[in-house]
Amino acid sequence: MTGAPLELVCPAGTPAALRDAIDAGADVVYLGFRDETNARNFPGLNFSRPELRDGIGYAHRRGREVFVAINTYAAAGNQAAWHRAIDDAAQLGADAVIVADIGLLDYAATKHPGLRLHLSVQAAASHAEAIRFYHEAFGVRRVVLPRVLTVAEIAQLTRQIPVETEVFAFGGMCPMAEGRCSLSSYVTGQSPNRQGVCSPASHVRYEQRGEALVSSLGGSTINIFDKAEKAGYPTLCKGRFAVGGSYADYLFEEPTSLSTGEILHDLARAGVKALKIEGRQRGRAYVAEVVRQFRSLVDGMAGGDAPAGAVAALRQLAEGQQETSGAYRKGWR
Amino acid sequence: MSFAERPVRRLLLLPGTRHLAEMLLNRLAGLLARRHAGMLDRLADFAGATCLIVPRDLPAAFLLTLQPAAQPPQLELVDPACVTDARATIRTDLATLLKLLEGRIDGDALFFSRDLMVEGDMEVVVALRNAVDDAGIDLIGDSAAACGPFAAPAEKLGRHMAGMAARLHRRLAITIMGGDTA
Repeated sequence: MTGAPLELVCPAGTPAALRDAIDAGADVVYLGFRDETNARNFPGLNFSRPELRDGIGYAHRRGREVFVAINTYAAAGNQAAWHRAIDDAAQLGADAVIVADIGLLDYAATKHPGLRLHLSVQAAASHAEAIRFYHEAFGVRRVVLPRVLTVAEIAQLTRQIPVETEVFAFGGMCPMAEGRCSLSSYVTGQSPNRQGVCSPASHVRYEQRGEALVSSLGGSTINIFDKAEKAGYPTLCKGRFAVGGSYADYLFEEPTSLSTGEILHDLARAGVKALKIEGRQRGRAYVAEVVRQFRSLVDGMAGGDAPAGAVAALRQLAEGQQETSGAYRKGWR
Repeated sequence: MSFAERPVRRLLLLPGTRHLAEMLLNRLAGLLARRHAGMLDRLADFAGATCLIVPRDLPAAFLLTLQPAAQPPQLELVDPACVTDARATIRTDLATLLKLLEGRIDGDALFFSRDLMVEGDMEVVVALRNAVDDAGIDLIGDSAAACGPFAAPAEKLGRHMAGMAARLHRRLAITIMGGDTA
């Protein structure tokens, strides 16, 4: 492989996960504040301002970086929390903020011209005209691409845009149009795009019925796992539904994780700058292991070797222990 | 419940035994809360919430009640069959619970593989998981640190005893529960 190695952008839901991710080989850790300004607003998760300050210090002392996700859409007439998040991230020395909301991008570009701006996947910018607009209007330097593009489409796109590209490399699959999905909001009244919660824990129930596990969201049963089945997350897009009198089955997506362990060379050749590992809501043992495996894969690329066992190890960490290369290959076509 | 398990549970839940066990458990909870104050901060919105923690290979369970104003949680030793009003329930084996407490294992993967069972209000379970995962608890190291100048030998002794206890627990579990938990 020629050129700079792929940058590993890794998740942290807590300070302990941040330290573990960096110790395992993350180039960058991304995280959010403890409120609705980020898209992983789960109970007990995320960073206070002092924790962010300490986390940035830990990363910078080791030559690594911290990006702050402020990637939900600000509430009309009540943008103070989002503005405060941008101000505090800038003041505490974040290396970049990841933003989707146009008004918030404008606020950040105007108020903190030196702050590096990345366009969140929540903006769903998937073509050159949209990405060029964000770059020209707000000085966005990197785009996190939606999980709807093939590798060939990414290669074409990177040649047409003046900004870096970051793509999802591993973790939860979101099969919907990101930043536009209202499934969770329809059932629970809370939205990943506004409140930062897809399937909020307060609306999730699990119940053991005999040997079956029943999951419900907002009072509606969304899945029943038999004894021998692997369980999955309680999101509507991974629920089983009976349509037209048929038996209940997965309509949108089975419990599965995105994995790019086998196509990293293709992504590098397509001009991708950075790999994003999903999972700020996951525990630090998971984060450390995924980062360790991806570090070995990326280092192996630079040395021309593919480390044996890394792809298989990642499969064990996947949701439902199933993985897919998703839209990168569109293997269902 | 197996024939051999019933008397062990009865012994554990006798008032004297139970009082002693709860005193030790709550001392430990207080110690961990002092050494990992951020953990309680992450649980501040859940005062009064209860979670039944059922180690499948022990004949009794723990009822955890979160407290207000950064107070350590309270633990009671209970018969799991007699607790019907806990907001959430977590079931797995004791060794897995200890690994989860120390953040050494991925709880979601255990849930996917059905080795960890959760029921009830997931808000409490998720908050607990995140708070504990961040705390960086080291049960032996934290307990030994309370011994002041004797912390280092206490930690060495603790780790040695933990190894012995794990071996004994495996043997007892085979005897009491009639299965192999290794």
